[in-house]
Formats: sequence, structure tokens, C-alpha cells
Amino acid sequence: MNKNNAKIKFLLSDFLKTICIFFIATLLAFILVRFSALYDNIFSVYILAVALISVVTSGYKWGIFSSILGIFSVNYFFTYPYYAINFVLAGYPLAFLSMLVISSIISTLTVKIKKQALLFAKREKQAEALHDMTKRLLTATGMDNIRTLALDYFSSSYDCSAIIYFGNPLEKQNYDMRLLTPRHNDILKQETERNAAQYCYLSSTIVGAGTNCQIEAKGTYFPIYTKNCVLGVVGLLSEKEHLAETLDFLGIMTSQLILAIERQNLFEKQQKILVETEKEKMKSNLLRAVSHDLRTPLTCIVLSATTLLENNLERQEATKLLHDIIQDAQWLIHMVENLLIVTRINNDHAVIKKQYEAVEEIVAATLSKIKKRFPNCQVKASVPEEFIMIPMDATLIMQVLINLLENAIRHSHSSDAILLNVIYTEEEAIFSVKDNGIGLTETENIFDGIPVEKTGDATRGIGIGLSICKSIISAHKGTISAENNKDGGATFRFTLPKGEDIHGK
Amino acid sequence: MASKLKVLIIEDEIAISNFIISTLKSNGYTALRSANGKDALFMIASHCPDVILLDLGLPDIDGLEVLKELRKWSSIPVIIVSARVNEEEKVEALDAGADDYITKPFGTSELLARIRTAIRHTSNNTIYNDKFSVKGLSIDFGKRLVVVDGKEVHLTQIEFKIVSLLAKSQGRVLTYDQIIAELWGPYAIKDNQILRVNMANIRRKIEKNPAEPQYIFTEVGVGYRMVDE
Repeated sequence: MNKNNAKIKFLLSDFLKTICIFFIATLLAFILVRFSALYDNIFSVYILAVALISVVTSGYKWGIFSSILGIFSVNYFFTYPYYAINFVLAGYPLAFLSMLVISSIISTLTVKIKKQALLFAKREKQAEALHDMTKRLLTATGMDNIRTLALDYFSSSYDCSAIIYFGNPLEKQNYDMRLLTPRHNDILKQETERNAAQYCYLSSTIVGAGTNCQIEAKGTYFPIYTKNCVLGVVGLLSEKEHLAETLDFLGIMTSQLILAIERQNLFEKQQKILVETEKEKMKSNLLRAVSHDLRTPLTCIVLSATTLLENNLERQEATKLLHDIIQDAQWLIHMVENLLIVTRINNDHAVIKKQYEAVEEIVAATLSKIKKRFPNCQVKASVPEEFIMIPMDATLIMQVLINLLENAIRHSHSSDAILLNVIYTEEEAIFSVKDNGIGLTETENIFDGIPVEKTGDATRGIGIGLSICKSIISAHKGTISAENNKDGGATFRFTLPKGEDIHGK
Repeated sequence: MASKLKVLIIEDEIAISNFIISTLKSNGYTALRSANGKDALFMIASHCPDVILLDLGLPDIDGLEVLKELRKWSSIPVIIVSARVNEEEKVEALDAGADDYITKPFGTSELLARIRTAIRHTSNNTIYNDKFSVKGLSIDFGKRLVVVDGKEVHLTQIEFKIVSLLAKSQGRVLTYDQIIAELWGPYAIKDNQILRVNMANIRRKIEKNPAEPQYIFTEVGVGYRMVDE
């Protein structure tokens, strides 16, 4: 119904245009005759009218129609006998016939030119769209962005609904679409459409409406394929039939999309390699640092034990050596625990297992561990009166606290009490370890691991310990920092996000 | 005691069992050794040890299997000797009937304390003490009275139940699940959130500084333990 209405409207408007122009031309002819009394120009006035009509109306019919109308009009108004139709006077048939032929030819030519101009405009629009799409695709990053961009372009350039599948359309549900009308959603999800898409995916040929195969599908499907494999399928669905004419161009757009996808794939591969290299570098750095750090205490243990075995030492002397051995061995155990934690974090597949833990319990457990190892150390801890639980991997956070406390005990060169303090803010818990010692020479890069060359025996293990702390805290989405106190000593501070309030439920 | 107490060490690492045996011998225990699980089960049956030290990582059968097998017919106290890594493993062993655990590396005094505690709990099994006291904390179970440093502390019913439960197992770790089952019955939801909130309240009532508790210790990821002497 709608279509017919539109057609009638179209016809009516063309008809009105024709009549209008024709009327003006006739008026003009009258004026010309009145002022110059020359009848030769009338012919050209009508030819101009025919040309104009051909431009503003669609198809050939109005041009031809106006040519014939023109002949009658000239014959009626401007040739003898005036205001009567007479084609049979001597010379008239030939003259009017030639006039008809000329005006018809001009009308046809005009229409042709008009059609060509339209085609050019369309091509230019396509080329522009293609250019634009290529440009945007070049700068797009991420598969999802590329897909969204491509969908927008397909849909807007062709005035159609578009769908892009990644992977096998029937197996994976990895697709995205742009719909012109909600109705298209149902159509695109129909069995036949998805079968067509899958056929396209498997055979890597263009399938669907307007192509040689799978005519029953309403959409047209283009494979996105590279040399080796089919990556996915682009599907287009339109009410109009213009898709069939532009298959080639769609092919070009698809190939642009393919290029973008390949580029993205390469980029991702490269990124992965970069990360791997970085990881390898970190690993070898760590290994170097560790082997350097482990060698010293091991040598000490071996030397002390050998001395004990081979010499008859005084009891006091022997006890001292044994104490040294115990201390070095304990240091080694601590180191190995840190290393175990590194493997726990650096393992890609091992996601940190966070559980809600009571902050005060973690602090208390850490303190009892530290006191077991350093019975003489002075640590004062305080936690807020408010009881909250924070999501964390308890073992890891305890290791952070142990590392920070141990640093303070070993390296602050002070016997004053170390303060372990926890406060809560709106969003996070802030842990701080404050000593009253010699302070830090550097506060910026200490968490990045100290290069091996710089670690003397006096500072062995600090670098690894702190960089592990940083990895752990980062993995918890917290922050860690160090600073020198105004009144001497250093403070290490780290934060843990609170997570959802478990008491709020 | 006239006869020496017998301790069986089930451990495949010779260095560790050497250390444990020499420590035990010099402290007046008789020590036996088994390097694998199958032998261990025979030895338990023939020697009837007073305490068993069990390493979970054995070459032939899983230490946990040895424990389960043993618990079918005996309640000899078992102390798990575990490497640090895995909390779940400890909890599983405790819930499967182990009496306590000790984490490598451990010191001599710690080991001896655990063994003493384990033995005390078996011999005291039948005797019901009405009063309990450790350091400044004393509990009168009959009167439901808790006193810290001479001052009476008011605990809610649940809080008192938790404290007395831990006190009766003094020195031994109780897992979250064990405490929950004891307090709310075996079919209670195994969600330790409520328990830990209660524990936080208890801490605020009986400890001077919740960050440095003196009486009830947290074994992170496992459970709670009442201080021993």
C-alpha cells in the first residue's frame, strides 16, 4: 500500500514539474514572439524546456512526453494556421518530425548524463566512506572497537542492518550488530540466516541474497578471511535490492576490515611477546639477585659448620658459631618464602585468592611470627576499635608486613620500638610501619628492586623483599610508598581497598 | 611418670626425623620412626604410641589417608607436621581428626609444647574441670564467669561458649568449622563471618590490645587457639 502511494506521489510531482516548466516555456515563447516577431527561437525555447524537464524528472518518459507536447504546442500556437492543429501543410511533417527527433535525443542524452552524474556522486560517496573507514580503522585499537567501527560504516554506507560474527557463527556466540529496525534482529537470528552465515564461514565464499548460492537467505554474507583461516563473517540485511549491485564494493570494504583485524592480531602478538620479554628480564634479574644473596649466608653456614667439626673450640666460641648458623639459615628460609610468593604472584594462571580477613587478626598473627624469629625486637601495634574485614590473600599480606618489619628490625640500626599502625578511611585500610632509625637514602625507586651491583651484604635481600611487597600490593589494587620521617627514621605505608561492606548486607 | 612416653614419627625426610628423634630422646621420650605410611600403620598397631607426628607428604600413601585409616579404630593423638604452603591442607587434616599441627620450620620448644598439650588432652579426657585459668584470665564454667586481671568481664552467651570451648581445648587449634559445629550444630552453614565478628568482640572484651592478643591466638586461614601456659 505504502509503496503504491509513494509511486503515485512521485508520478504526480513529476507530472506537475513537467506541466509547470512547459507552461513557463510556452509563456516565454509568447513573449519572444510578441517582442521580436521571430518564430525561429521558439523551437530552441522548447528544446530547453525538454532538457530541463529531463533533468528534474526521473526516467525518459517525461522528456519524450514533453517533446511531443512541445510539437503540438508549436503547431497549435506558433505556426500557421494559428490556434489549430495542422501537420500536413507543405514542409511541416519533416520540420515537426525533425523537431521531435532532436528534442527526444536531447532528452535522452540529458537523462543519461544525469544518471552518470548520480552514479559518480554515489561512487564518490563510497570512495569517501571507504577512505574514511580505512583511516578510522587504521587508528582503531582493540577488536571490539574495530568491529563497532566496521558495523557503523557498513550500516551507514548501505543503509542496511549489519552483523559481524567472530569465529564460527553457529558455535560461538561472538557477534555484534547494528539494526535499522528491531524486526531485523529476528530475521538475522533465524535458522536460515545463521546457516547461511555458517556456510559462508566454512566455504569462505560470499553467500546469500544477490549471490549465486543460498538464495533463501535474506541477508548477504561475506567471509572475513586471511591467507590461512576464516576469522568471521560480515552479514548485511537490507529491504532494498541495491546490495546486489554493490557486491564488489562491499568486498573491498570487507577487505579493509580484514586488514584492520590482521593488524590488530599482529599488534596483540607483538604485545604478548613484549610482555614475555619483560617477564623473562624480571625473572633473570631476580635469579641473579637471589643467587647473589643466597651465596653469602650459605658460605657462612658451611664455614661455621666446618670450623665446628674440625677444631676443638671452646664452648662459648662454638655457641657463637652455632648461633650464626641458625641466623643465616633462618634468613635463608625467609628468602625462600619470599621466592615462593614470587612464583605464586608471577604465575599467570594463579589469580590471587582473596578472602575477607580481619585486619587485627592478620596484624596479630604477623606479630607472633616476627616475635618468634626476633624475640628481642620491640614492635608496638595498634588497630582501630572498629572491626572490619578486608578482602585479601592473608599469606601474601602477612608476608608484606613481615618484610617491612624485618627491614625495620635489620636495617634501621635502632633499638627503639617499631610502630605498626592501621587506620581506616572511607575506602581503604592504611597500614604503616614506622621505625626510628637511620632513614632511607632513597625513597623513590626502592620498590623496583636494587640492581645487584649495589647490594652489599649490609643490604642484602632488601631489594627483593620490597619489590615483592610492591607486586603483592599491586595485585591487591593497593598502593605502597616509603618516606623519611621529619623526626628521624622511615615509614613504609601501604593501602588495601576495603571491598564491599560485608556488614551492610 | 614411670614409663617413658612413646612418640611415633612418620616422616620421610631423614634429616627432619633425626632432629625430632634426638630432641625427643633428650627430653625423656621414646621415639620411633617410620618413613612411609604403610609401615606406619603396622607400627601404630604393634607399638601403640602415645603421640603420633605425621607428615602429610609421604612417598607411598597420602598422610591424610593414614590419618583417616587410623581414626577408624584409634583416638591416639596425631600432630600434623606440615610445610607452610597450604592452609586448606591443614584444615582438612584437622577436620579429619588430627589433634593439632605444627608448621615447618619449627623450634624444639614449640614441638615439645605441642606434644605435651596433645598428651594432656588425652589423659584429661574424662576429668571435667570446672575452673580454668591461664595468665590473668580465669573462667568458671559452672558460674559462667570470666575474669580478666581480677575484673569480671561480661560476655554474651555465644561469646562465653566460644571462650569456654577454646579453653577446654587449651593449646590446641580449633578450626572454624569445628567451632561452628560445636556452637550451632553440625548442620549450621559453614560461614565463619559470624564467628569472626564474635571473636572480634571477645578480643575487645578480654584482650588489652586486639592487635597483640595474649589469650586467644588466630591461626590465619585455620582457626583459633587458646594460649597454653
